[in-house]
Amino acid sequence: MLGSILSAADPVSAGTFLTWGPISISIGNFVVIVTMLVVFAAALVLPFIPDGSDDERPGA
Amino acid sequence: MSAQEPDATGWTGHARRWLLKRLPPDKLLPDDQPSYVASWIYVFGMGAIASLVYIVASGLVLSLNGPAWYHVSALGRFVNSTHLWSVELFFLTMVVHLWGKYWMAAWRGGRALTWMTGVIAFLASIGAAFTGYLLQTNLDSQWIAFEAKDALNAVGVGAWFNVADLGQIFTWHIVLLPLAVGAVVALHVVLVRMHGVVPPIDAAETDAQLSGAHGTVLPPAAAGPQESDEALPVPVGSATS
Repeated sequence: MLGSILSAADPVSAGTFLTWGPISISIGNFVVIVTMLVVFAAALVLPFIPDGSDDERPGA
Repeated sequence: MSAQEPDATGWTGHARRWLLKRLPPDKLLPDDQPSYVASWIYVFGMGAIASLVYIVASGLVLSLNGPAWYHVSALGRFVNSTHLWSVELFFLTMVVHLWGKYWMAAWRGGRALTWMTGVIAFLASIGAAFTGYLLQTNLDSQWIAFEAKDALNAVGVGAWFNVADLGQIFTWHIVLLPLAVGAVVALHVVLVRMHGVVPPIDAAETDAQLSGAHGTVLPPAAAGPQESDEALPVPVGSATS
């Protein structure tokens, strides 16, 4: 009985949590949030793809 | 077919005239965009829509083949996984889009309804994602359901939204919430086309990027009067385009 319960629970692990005082967050959620912050900051500072139409309009 | 057509009679004619005035075809499907759109911060809305298109397409495949396929076969598990990861990408791009629009106060210039439809789309998407997690039919989904059950009962919707009723949650996930998200996102996009893409805050007053004033270099296609009017914080319907 216990073995079947444990095997059923096997695909779902407890996961790893980061804890700072009252704040607790799983590694997965933490990675997603950090990724969003990095992407947001990069979107503000990285230069955009050059407009190809500039080549067709010299002096524009 | 002009917005000023005098022979528009009946409710269909009035509706056509109203629609053409609010959303003429050149606004709905423009040939060009304002110069300020050439920034990475402006790509995330379309990124979210692209993700949503894949979510709906993969969801259709999953629903047509059924759980016996996507829980067992290799291809089914693969499509199921891409359905999940496209949702992750959808929320990532939508949140970055939300941050970008929040910090540029995107509700300016009569765009309050555009902002609110975005809020509703976000909330409906959370519901759709939540019901998707409930459909994993494993211990994880059971755990999530009974964590949420008390909260839903506490706000008084437990009788209509029963997380333990798999059939009901299936209907919410593959019919009601996708229709809601799709309709609200479609309205959101139409409103963006009606009012134009919101300009950066520092371009809102003088609109130098659009008008070409102050020596700003911009492609000729972006300097048209239509975008110039759209970008100014004016009431809905007062644009001269």
